[in-house]
Amino acid sequence: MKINNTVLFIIKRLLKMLFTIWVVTTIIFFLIRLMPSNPVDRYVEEQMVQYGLSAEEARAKASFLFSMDLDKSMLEQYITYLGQVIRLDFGDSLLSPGVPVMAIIAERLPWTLFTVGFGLLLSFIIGISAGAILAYRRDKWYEPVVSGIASFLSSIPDFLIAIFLLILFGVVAWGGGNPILPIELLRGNYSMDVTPGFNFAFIKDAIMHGFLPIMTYTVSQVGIWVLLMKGSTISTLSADYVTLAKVRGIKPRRILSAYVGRNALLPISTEFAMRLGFIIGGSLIIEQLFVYQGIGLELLKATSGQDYPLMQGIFLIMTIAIVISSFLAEIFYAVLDPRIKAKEGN
Amino acid sequence: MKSSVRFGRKILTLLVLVTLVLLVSACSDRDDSSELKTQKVTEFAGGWPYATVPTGHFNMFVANAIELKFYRELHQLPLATYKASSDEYMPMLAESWELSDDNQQINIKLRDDATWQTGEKFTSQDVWTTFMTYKLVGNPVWNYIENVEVINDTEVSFSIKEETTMIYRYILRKPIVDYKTYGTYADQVNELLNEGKDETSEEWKALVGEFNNFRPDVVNATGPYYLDPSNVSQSHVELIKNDKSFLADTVNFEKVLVYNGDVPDLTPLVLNKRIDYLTHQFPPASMETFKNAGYGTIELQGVDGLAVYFNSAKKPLDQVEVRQAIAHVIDRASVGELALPGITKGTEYVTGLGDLMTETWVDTSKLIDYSVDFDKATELLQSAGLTKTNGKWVLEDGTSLKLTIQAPSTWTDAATAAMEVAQQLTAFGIETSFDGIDALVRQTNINDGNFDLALSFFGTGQPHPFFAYETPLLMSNLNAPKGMGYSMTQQTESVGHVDLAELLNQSTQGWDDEKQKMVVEKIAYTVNETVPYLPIYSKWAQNISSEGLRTDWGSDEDLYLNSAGDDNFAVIKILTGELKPIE
Repeated sequence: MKINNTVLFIIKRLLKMLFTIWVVTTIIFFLIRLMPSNPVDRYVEEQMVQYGLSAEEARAKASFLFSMDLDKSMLEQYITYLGQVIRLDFGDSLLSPGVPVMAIIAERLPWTLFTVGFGLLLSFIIGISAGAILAYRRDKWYEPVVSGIASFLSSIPDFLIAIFLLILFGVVAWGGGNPILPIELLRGNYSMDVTPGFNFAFIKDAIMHGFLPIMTYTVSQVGIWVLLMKGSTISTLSADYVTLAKVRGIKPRRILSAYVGRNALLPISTEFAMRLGFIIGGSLIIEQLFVYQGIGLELLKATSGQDYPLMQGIFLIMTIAIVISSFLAEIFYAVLDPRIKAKEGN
Repeated sequence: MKSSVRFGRKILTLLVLVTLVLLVSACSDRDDSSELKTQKVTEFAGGWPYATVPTGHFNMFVANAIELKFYRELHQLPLATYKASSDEYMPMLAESWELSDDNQQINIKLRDDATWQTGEKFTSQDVWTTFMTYKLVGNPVWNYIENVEVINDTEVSFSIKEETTMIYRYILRKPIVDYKTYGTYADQVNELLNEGKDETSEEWKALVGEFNNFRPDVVNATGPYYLDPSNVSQSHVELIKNDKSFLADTVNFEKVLVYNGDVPDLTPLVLNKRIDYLTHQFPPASMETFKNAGYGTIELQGVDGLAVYFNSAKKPLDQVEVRQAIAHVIDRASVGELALPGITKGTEYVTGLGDLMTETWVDTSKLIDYSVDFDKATELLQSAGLTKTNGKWVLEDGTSLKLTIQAPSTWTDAATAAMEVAQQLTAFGIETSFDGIDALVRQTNINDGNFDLALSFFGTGQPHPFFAYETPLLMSNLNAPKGMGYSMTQQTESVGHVDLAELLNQSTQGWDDEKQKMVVEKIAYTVNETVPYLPIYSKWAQNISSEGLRTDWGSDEDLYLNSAGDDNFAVIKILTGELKPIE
């Protein structure tokens, strides 16, 4: 039986994906353990510096907490770890005894997916629309203005945008009244008086709490999409098939949607798929600024406390997401451009 | 085909519109959520970072508990509070306490009008439960006590294992939990002890494992406020008035909010004037802005800070004269001024204690004065066999004296101080370079002896000087694999032969303060003469308070001599009713 090109292509990519995940998880395992210091010392230091405990008290607390098998050999730990990776079960958090790592990830991840995903989607929709318009209207006065703003926004770090939005919406009392948003009440993922679930009060509350992080992600990414789409559309506009379509007298609207838009979107869609993978990581600083309990903030805490199991779990989930999205991007590209899989098949 | 594409676009447009409508309605319809209603006037708002569920929990003995540091004393009262200015304990759940005639028991009489928020009477069984649970988790209090015995409902007795004045602190300052919540574990600990089992037994370890996973869903309270887990959000904790508390009529706030977070995320709340008190250390520019907004600051005594640790295992730092010379070269006042302007101040005395503690415990007239004195430094270095050639100090073997000074590059004050120290030493001819390290390896490097000079901690916020010597002399030296390489037995001119480990042990023993003082003086004089580490500056932290803006803090300023972390004055002032809201 002859395996067709598409199946062969997918199998090759799947194997490559699994290999990548194994390599990355192995690197993660050793890198985490090569970090300077160790969880016990970190914990003792934190208890002394931050909580003012005496060295004796801090050490007693640490020895009670870390009744774990940190003394196992590296190889034994690695084998245990690989078993955990296969089962997607990383045991309990070091710093929160009794709490499974996967429970922490399951609690925090949806919030990051919500804010970063929403931000990415909004910035993508706004960015490609504006980019296409700018490419078409290069002779208009607003083209350099919008392009300039897009360049400006794409070059500002997202945490600066977050601070700016925080001050703009939450601190400045416009006209001497109250700030636009009551930021002291928008910290966290939702208010304590709403019941999480599929109800309007909760959804509305969650959106409100996620508003500033979403805005931050949107504003920090929209510029890139505008510039990418503008560049891609301009190069597509000069393609022979577009010139031919114009000569054939096809309506500009039809050329924009069927000829230019679709082809210009091709490289951008791949970029979009790639970025989807990165949304798992969230943004450490943004989540900290808004006290948004997502996976980024959890990773920050896990890293500073050297909570090995939790760090491993989060890094692995991030790796899998990035590898899968990269895989999907390749599949997507191959579907749109059959020459790729034909080449692979041969 | 075309119609399906159009349909898809319509759906997409609809989705975008629905999203926008939701966003707009969510942000404009602020008053629907009851949390967003106008905040009550009689709130007190502070801040402390905590982990939220599922990592955060309410087992107050296990890491990541939503403990809220000193705010915990507002709902789970200790037996007594402490006032540093008079060095006395003030009764809280305890009515009185006394040492038995043979000095082997501390008998505590509890107040009989205290009740738990769940309705049960507060009794000595709750105190017993608290200390049996501390036994399970290996708290150091059990290094000093042998046993806890319930005499009757209002009397409890502690058998003393090691006689020390510190025992009062260990017993009286622990927040007391209830038998109803933790009693099962206390009983099991008691059973194991009766069976002769200790922490090395499998049964004990199994109980520890079980207790680690114990997650109570009620946080019972004796204090004027209570922590209801349903009032804990990712943003803040609301401590609600506990009408059953004997202090319910004393306190002046209906509730206390503790905002979750650190400096970056609490800054906007201060700017919005939603905060009454914070111990967080904000950058000077932020502090200036807060002051302009009407906030006051409470300057705390500089009880601890950073010191230069010498690696005495390395030549020529193994020679006392070299360490003394370096002490005479470094201008501690100027380093203190530069490190964190307005917060850090150069230390006056080189004893290993903060200046205030030195003046309280040591006869300062007998101390060597390490003022900047280049002539003295030159003399000392020459006596150690070093010579100065072309403006640089050279060792006996002809090599130049080159040193590095380590400090975490992310600790702004430490990095600035280290650079300044390096410059001053280099200007004197001791070529010194700054080695900016990751904060994660700071203690590890010291423990492993991987340094020449390193900035690390000295001093303490605790009332006894023992704690000031714990980190440098024990943790970073005696108990470290290599550490500072400083011998704990020294021959000194001032106090003769000393064994510092033995002296440290003796410094806390017994009930005689004067006797302890003599031992502490010996340690201080030894440190002063042999300079294993050189205290550079102490931090005079500034706490933010909304005095005059939202609150009235009363007139007892002596309380500000208390350690903000260990015996917080804001909490004491709330409990005594001195702190109140203003109209």
